[in-house]
Amino acid sequence: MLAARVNDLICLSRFFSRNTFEKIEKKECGLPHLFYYQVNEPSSSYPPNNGTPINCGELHLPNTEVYLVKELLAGNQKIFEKVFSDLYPLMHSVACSIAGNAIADEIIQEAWVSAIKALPKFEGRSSLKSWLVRIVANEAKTRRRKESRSVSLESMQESWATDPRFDERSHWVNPSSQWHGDTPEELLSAQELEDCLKKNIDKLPENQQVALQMRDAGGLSMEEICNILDVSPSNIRVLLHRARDKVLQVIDHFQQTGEC
Amino acid sequence: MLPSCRQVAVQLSEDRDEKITGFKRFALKLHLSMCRHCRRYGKQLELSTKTINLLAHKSRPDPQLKAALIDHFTQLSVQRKSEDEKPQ
Repeated sequence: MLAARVNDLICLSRFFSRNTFEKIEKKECGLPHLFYYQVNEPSSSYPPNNGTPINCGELHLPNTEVYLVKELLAGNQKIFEKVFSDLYPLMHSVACSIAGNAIADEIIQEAWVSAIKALPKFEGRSSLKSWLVRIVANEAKTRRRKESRSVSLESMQESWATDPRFDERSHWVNPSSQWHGDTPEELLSAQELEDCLKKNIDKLPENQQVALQMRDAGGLSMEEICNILDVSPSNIRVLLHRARDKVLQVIDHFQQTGEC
Repeated sequence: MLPSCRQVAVQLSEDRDEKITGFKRFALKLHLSMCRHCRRYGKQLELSTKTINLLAHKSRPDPQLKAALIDHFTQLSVQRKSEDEKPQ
């Protein structure tokens, strides 16, 4: 009890130390246990503050997230457009990986409809991004089940034991070559490589694809990915390594031969 | 005991997600200091990861989908506001 009060005081003092907000109120406004604050800047100045996260009890949301949820609840169309556009690539990748490209946009639409409806119930126990991606992933899994395709995110059957790049002592016998290009922009300046990467990422086993898209394309944390996919961190690490290694080999092959 | 090149390749990926610590990190660094193939693999792994991120951010939503969702969002917001304004 005492610890909770001390934590509240620390939170309040951190709020009062911020000069971007004139008026601070503590009340519930569809966001249980979250501090609600009056933003004095115009809504177009997005985000209003990208400071350190505020830890109030169990919750750990950055200021921008609280602001976004508040504006979405208030019906701010510009903020909705911004969030939709920012998260579209990640949502699309996740939907594609689980259910295929043909119905990815339908899944995103369904997920957003559900999310808009459920927004007042969003409790901030995860980030807004993670919450939305979880809705997309669940929607994609449901759609996939309906189409009688099995979901096997836990599957780890693929053999990685016989890799011709290593000798019997597991040292390099056929290492990667020197690449022409030090930045992603330089690598992707070749349209053929971009197409080749897309094609090969689509060919990855579903579990590797989802992990790769969430982590490397979408930047979700390991904890968020484990919660969304309900897979252990060690399994995610294996999936990520295999997927990244495959992508590296595709780029390396293209660098050596100029072909996909 | 130093890790093999194959183990280093795995550890370099793991290190991107959760920092390797202690003796395992020391052994990894020692291996990297002696093996140019693994050093190159590490750099290329980082570059590949950044490339995937850039590739993902190139996809843009279908304008029709975006318009439909904005419309839905606006309708629901208006509906929600009118419900909030109703006298209890």
